[in-house]
Amino acid sequence: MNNRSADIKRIVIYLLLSFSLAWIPWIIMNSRYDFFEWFTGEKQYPFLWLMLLSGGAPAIATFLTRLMTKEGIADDLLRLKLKGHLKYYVLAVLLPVAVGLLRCILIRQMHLGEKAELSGLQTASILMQAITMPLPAAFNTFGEEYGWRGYLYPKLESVGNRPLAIIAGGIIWGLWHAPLTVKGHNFGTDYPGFPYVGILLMCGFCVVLGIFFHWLTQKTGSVYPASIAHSVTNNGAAMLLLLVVNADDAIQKVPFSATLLLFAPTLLYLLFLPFLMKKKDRLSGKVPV
Amino acid sequence: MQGTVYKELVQNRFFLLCGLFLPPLVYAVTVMMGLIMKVGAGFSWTDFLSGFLADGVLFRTMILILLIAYFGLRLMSAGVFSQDESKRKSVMMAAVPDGTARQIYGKYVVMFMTYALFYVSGVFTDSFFCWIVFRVTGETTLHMNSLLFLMLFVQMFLRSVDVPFLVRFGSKYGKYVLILSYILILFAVLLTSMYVPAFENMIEGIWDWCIRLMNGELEEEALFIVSLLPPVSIAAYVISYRISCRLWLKGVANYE
Repeated sequence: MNNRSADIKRIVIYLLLSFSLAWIPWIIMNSRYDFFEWFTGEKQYPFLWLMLLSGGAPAIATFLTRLMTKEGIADDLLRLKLKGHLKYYVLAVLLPVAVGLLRCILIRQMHLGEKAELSGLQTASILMQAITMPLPAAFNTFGEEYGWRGYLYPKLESVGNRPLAIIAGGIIWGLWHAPLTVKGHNFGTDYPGFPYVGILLMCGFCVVLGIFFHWLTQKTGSVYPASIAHSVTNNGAAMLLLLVVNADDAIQKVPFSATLLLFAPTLLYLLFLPFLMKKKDRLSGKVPV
Repeated sequence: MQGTVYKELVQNRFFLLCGLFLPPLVYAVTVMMGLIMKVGAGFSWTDFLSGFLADGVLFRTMILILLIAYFGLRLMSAGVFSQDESKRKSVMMAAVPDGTARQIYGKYVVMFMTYALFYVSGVFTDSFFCWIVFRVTGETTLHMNSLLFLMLFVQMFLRSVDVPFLVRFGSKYGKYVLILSYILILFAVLLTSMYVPAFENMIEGIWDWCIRLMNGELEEEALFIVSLLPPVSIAAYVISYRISCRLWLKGVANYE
């Protein structure tokens, strides 16, 4: 079997595993509990272990695929690579925070939700927490990054090319979230074309986010900066909303058009596309130097 | 070549495993203790697991055991340095380009990994246990995520203070100093509990603070200080690494 067909086989095994390992528990949970109860509500914590396990499905799938296809772990991008790459780690934290702040400005400009009344100390606390709280939570997003950016994207690059990896990888990543999107994750349930438009938007969102995360992985040869950026995007940006609105759920009650506009700052990540396309380094299924 | 981090991971796998398995062990021990005390006539799982809710006795016991495990882990990780305290090996390492920095870097990474594993495993175990209590009692316990988060950064901060001393004076003396400091703290607590009338109030105050932390009900100022801790700890850890790099060769002179 040549390299290309071996990689295609690996991609298929990986996708089957990562989708089934995440979708089965999600579908069971969605059928047994209300989504907003187990995924985002006050009772979320007792289900956190399940979310950690299912969120780590891509990492488990990567490990199992490598084991089943006897691929080994030579190019697993698990090294920290801090030396000379510290700036990328800093960027992984600061850029998603900047995107979150832009979103806050948009919320205030559109007068969405009940305005938050905060003291200077509270504002500083929230800002600090938005930057630092997601760091330990990066172990959760590491599961995804190790699978998507650490395995799928390089494999897609080696069977096709980089644009294919970015587009197909992003769409697959977006589709992977489908059991959550159909229950109202990110976009709610009250919008035209529900739930298909939501799934489509999630795919687009993931393609754009994937550009930045893939660029970080490329530049450092490590999956940790992308894990941190992913964690800050998920947790830090949500925390920043408290700077402008009184309650966490205020944003969930805004019209769909406003929700779409709130995702606009994410398009900033498109700026990384030219850099990503510029040169083919480190990845492409090759062992990082 | 696998590098020094790999070497440290292999050498210190016991500590890493401790970080991973201590939190589930803490929960298992607490449940066992609770069962030993409570099993008898009229035992019901609902009543038993209710003891783990915020006002239950078992909840307090669990936090206490978790803290003991946490400080135990701190003591054990001093051993990370003891394994490489040979003059010949250290001088050879120093002769390699970037040898000093790589040697110390590996130690700092493995220490951080031990504490990070303790945190991850703690959150996972706590959430799983919270799920069991929720399934049986229908109520959610106070979760320890914030406490574990705080513990991770406090641990990093404390390490960043004492590691340069370990590097400079050797782990043997460093370990003695650490054990001595624990004994002194224990004595101080014992004496305070015997002679200070407000001791119980102090303990209640600390307990109340922990509960408010877990509930996310801290005052503005306290919350600000808590949110300052992670950046301060990370900065201190990095500075501590730099200081340790400078002190290491001086420490090597004391090795046998």
